Amino acid sequence: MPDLLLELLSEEIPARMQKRAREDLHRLMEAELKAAGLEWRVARAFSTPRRLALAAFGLPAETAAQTEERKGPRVDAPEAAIEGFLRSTGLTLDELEVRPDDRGAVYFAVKRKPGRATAEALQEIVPRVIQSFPWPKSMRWGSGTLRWVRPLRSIICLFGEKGAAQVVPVEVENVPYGRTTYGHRVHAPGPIEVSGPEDYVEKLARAFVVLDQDARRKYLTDQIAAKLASSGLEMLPDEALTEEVTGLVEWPNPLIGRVDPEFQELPPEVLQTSMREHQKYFSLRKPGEEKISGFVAAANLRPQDGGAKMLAGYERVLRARLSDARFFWENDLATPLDSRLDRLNHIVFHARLGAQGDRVARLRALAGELGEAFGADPEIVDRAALLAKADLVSDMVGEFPELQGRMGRRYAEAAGEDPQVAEAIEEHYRPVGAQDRTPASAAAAAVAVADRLDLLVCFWTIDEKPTGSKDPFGLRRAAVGILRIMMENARRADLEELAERHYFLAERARQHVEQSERGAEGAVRRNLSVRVLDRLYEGDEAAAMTAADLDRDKSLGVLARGWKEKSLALSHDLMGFFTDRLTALMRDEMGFRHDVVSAVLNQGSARDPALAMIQARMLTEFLLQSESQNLLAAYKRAANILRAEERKESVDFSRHPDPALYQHPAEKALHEAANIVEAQTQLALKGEDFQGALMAMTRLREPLDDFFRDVTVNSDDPALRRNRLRLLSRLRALMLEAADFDALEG
Amino acid sequence: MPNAQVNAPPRCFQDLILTLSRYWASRGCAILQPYDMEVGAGTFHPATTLRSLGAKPWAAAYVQPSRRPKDGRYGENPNRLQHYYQYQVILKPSPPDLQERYLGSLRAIGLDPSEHDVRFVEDDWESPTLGAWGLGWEVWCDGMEVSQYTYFQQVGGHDCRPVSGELTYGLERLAMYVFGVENVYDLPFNSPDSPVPLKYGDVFLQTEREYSRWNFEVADTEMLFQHFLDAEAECGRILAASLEEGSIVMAHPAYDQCIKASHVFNLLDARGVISVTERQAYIARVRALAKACADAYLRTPQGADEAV
Repeated sequence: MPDLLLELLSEEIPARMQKRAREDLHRLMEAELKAAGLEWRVARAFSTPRRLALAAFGLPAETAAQTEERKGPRVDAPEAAIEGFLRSTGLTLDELEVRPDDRGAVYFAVKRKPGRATAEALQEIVPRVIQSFPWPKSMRWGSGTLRWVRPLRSIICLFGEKGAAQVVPVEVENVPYGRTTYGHRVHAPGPIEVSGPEDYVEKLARAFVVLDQDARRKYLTDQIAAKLASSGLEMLPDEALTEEVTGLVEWPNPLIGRVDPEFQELPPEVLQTSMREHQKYFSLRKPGEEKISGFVAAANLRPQDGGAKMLAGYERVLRARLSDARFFWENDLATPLDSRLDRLNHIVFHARLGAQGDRVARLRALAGELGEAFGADPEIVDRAALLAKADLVSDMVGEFPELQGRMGRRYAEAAGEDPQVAEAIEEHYRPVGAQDRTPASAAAAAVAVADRLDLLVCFWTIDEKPTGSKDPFGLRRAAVGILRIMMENARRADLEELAERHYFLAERARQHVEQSERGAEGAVRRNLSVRVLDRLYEGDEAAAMTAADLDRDKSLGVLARGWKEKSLALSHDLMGFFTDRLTALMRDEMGFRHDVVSAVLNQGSARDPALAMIQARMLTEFLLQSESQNLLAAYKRAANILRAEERKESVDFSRHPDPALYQHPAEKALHEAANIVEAQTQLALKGEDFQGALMAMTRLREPLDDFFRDVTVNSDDPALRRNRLRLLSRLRALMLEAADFDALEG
Repeated sequence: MPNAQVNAPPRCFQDLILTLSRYWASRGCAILQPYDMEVGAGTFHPATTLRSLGAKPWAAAYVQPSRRPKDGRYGENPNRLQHYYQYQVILKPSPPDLQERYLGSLRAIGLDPSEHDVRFVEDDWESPTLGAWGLGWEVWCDGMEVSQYTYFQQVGGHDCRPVSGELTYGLERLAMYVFGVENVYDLPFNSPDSPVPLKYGDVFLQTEREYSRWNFEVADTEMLFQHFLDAEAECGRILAASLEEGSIVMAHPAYDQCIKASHVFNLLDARGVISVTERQAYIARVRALAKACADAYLRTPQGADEAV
C-alpha cells in the first residue's frame, strides 16, 4: 500500500512549541483523511528546529466508491410529487430505480460516486491543514498573507508505493513544493532529493539531522553520559531542559565545560538557574557534593577544531553571567533582609490594594492567628511572616523570580536568623504545584496559609474572582494550596471566621488607596475609615460605629454597616469557593464517595478542611457497617414522610412533641432513645468524636423500626398525627447534627 | 591581492562597522547615517519605524547611537553603557534568504558558523512605546546573544504589509566577542597599528561618567516633565495641521516630537521620578503619539499604499 511523506521546512521553530505542533499535525491530518474516507495503518509526526514532518504508512491509493441513495415518492404518486423529486435530485425519470416496498413500488435516486485518487484528496487536504494550523503564535513574512510559526520555506508531499512515490502538487501561496529538502545548515547545506518516508529519514541522517525527536533525545543523553563517564562528574537531572535542548538542535554535540572555581561558592540553585535560564546549560557536580563545578552545553555542530572555540565561548559567556550573579549575591548579602523591608512599602502589590509592605503587615496578623491554631512558636511565625517577602526586593530575585523563597532562606541564614525562620521563609511558597509537597513545620504552614488566604480575601474584596478559564492571580491554585496544607498534616483552623475578620484588613488597604487618591479631602475620610475598620477588625462594633459618627456627613456609618455585612457575605462566598475545590479534591484525589463528600461538606466543614477529611473518613467507615444501612433506610423513611407532610401543610413540625400525647409504647421508646442519643451525640460532637456520634445514632435504629412497624403516623386524630410528625422531626434534626443523611445514597 | 584586504576579518571596532556596511551595501542596502536625535534603539530611526509602514519596498542599513540613561554605570561596569551603538538592517519585504544573508554577515566579521555554535532562539519582540511587535529570535553565538532578528508584524498599531525583516546587532558586545576582550573600554576603536591607537575607553569613558551623573543625579526633572508635555503638544499640533485639506502631511516632524517625548520619558525614568503606575501611563502616551504619526505617514505619498 502507498505511503505518505509530508515535510514542512521552515525557519527555526521555537522548541517549546514543537511537541504540540507534532500532535496537531498528526491529529489534523488523520481527521482530514478520515473525512475523505481514508485511513492510514500507522503514522508518526516528527520535528526538528527547522522542520515539521509526518510519515504515514499504508494508505489506500484511492478513496472507496460511495453510493448515495435517496428514497422518493411511490410510483403511483401524483405527477407533481415525482417531478419535484426529479428536480431535487437532478435526475431524469429513467435514471431512477424502482424498488418494491410493502405498499407497492417506490422510486429511488441512486448516485454512485466513484473512488477518488488519494493524491487528489491530499492536494486539497494539505493546504487546508497548513492554513488552519493552530500555532499558539503565528506570523506573516515577505509579501504573503500565509501564516506560519516562522517563514515556511518549502513543502514535500510525496505519495505512492515505496520507490515510486509521486510529488503531490500542494499549492500554498508561493511556497515551493517538490521532493527537495535540506540537511544540517552547516554540515550538509545542499539540496537533497528524497523518494519516500524511509529514504527521507535515512538521507537526513546522512545529512547530519536526527529527525526523530525521541531518537535525538536519546542520542543527546547517551552522548552526555559517554562524555561524563570519564569526567568524575554527574549531571543534575532536568527533564524540561532536556526536552527544550532536543528542540534546539538537529545534531546534538554536547560539550563539557568548567565553572570557574571563583563562582563555585555561589549557592547551587543560583548557578543552576542562571545556567539553565540564560544559557540552556545542564549543571554538573561531583557525586555527593552540593556545589556545581561544571556544565554541559549541547551544540548543534561538530567543528573541525573539536569545539575548542565554542567551548571557550561558552565558558566566557558563563563568566560574564556568573559575575552578574555574584554581584547580586554579594550585594544582597551586604543588605540584611530586615533592612530591605522598607523597600517593600514602595513596591505595588496591586494598584487597588496598596504596597507589598501593607501586605506583610496583614500576613503577620493572619499568620499569628493561624500559628496559634496550628500550635506553632509565635515568635518564629511572626519573624518568618515579617521576612517572607523581603527577598522580592533583592537583586537576585529581581533577576530570577523563580528563586523567590530560596534566596530568602539563604539570606536569612547568612544574617543569623533562627533556622526555623529561614526554613519557613522558603517553605511558605509550598506547594508550588500539584506534585510538590506541603510545608513540613507548623510555622511554615501558618505563613503559607496566611499568604494564600490574604490573596483570596484581597481579591474577593475588590471583586476580582476567577471566571471561567481566567484566573490571572492563581486564586484557584491558592485555595487548593490551603486545603492541601491543612489536610495533609491535620492542621485545624476555622477559615470562615478568619476570612470574615481578615476582610476588614483588606478593606482597610483598599480604603487607604482610594481615599489617598482624593487628596486633602480624602485624607480625613481615609483616617476615619481606617479607624472604623480597625475597630471592626478588633470585633468592637460599638466603638466602630462611634468612630463612624465622627464623619461630618454621617455617610460613613452607612458604609461601616455595609462593611460588616460584606464581611459575612464575602467569607460565606469564599467558603463556597473552597467547598468546590474541596469537593473535587476529596472525590477525585482522595477517592471518597461523592455522597459522603456532600454529606460532610453540606454541614459547612469546608471552613475546617482537616475536620472535613476526618469526618469523611469516619463516615465512610460507618457506612461499611450493616447497622448503618438500616439506620439510613429508617432515616430516609422519616425524612420522606416529613417532607411530604410539610409540603402539604406548608408548616414545619419543629416544635417538641408532647409526651402526654403518646399512645403507643413504641412512641415512648423512641422518645426516650432520642433523649439518650441526643445527650450522647452532643457530648461526642463537643469532643469532636464524630465516630462516637455516629455510633450513638445506631441506637436509634431499633426504636425507629419498631415505631414504623407499630405506629400509624397519619392518624385520623389531627393532634396525634401532628405529635407523631413532631417526634420524627426531632429525630431528623438530631441525626442531621452528625451528617447530612439526606445527601447519602442508600 | 586587494581582494584579500577587503575580505580580511575586522581588527577593531570601526572595522566591524565598516565591514558590516560593506557587506550590506554589496547586498543592495542603502547605507544611511544615524538619525540626528537621541533614541533608545535603532528601531526608532524613521528609516525603520516609518519605512516599515506602507507598501513601498525598502532596504537600508545604518549605525545608530542609542541612549539608555538607566543603563549608565559611571564607566565602572565592563558590560553596561548608557550610550552604545546598534547596527540596524531593514529589508522590506523580508527576502526568503534573509537567514543566509545574516549568517553571511557573521562570516564577514570573522564568526564562521562552521566553527561557532550559531543558534536561533525564540524571542518575540515588542515595543510598547511604538505600538509595534514582531516574531523572530535572538541569535546566539556560542551561548551569547549577538543579534536580534525580527519579522515586523505591526508598527504604530498598523499591520505591516509587506512584512519587513529587521536585524539588529549590538556592536559593542559583538566586538568584545570577536576580539576576545573582557571589558568594553579595552576594545580597540581604530587599528592598534595607527599612529594614535585608540581604545573604546579613550573615546567614551569620560562621557559615560558625565552622562551617568547627569542622567541619575542632575537632570532637571521639572524641566523634563515640561519638555514631555511640550513635545506631546507639538506632535498633536503638527498632526492637526496635517489634516488641513490639500496641505503637506508632516508625519516626520511629528514623529521627531514622539522620539523626543520617548527620550525625555527615559531620562525621567532614570531619575527615578516615575512610579510603577505612572510608568504605564507614560508609555501609553508615547504609544498614542507613535500611532498618530504612523496614521499620518500612511497618508503621505511615500507611505500611501500603491493600491490605494
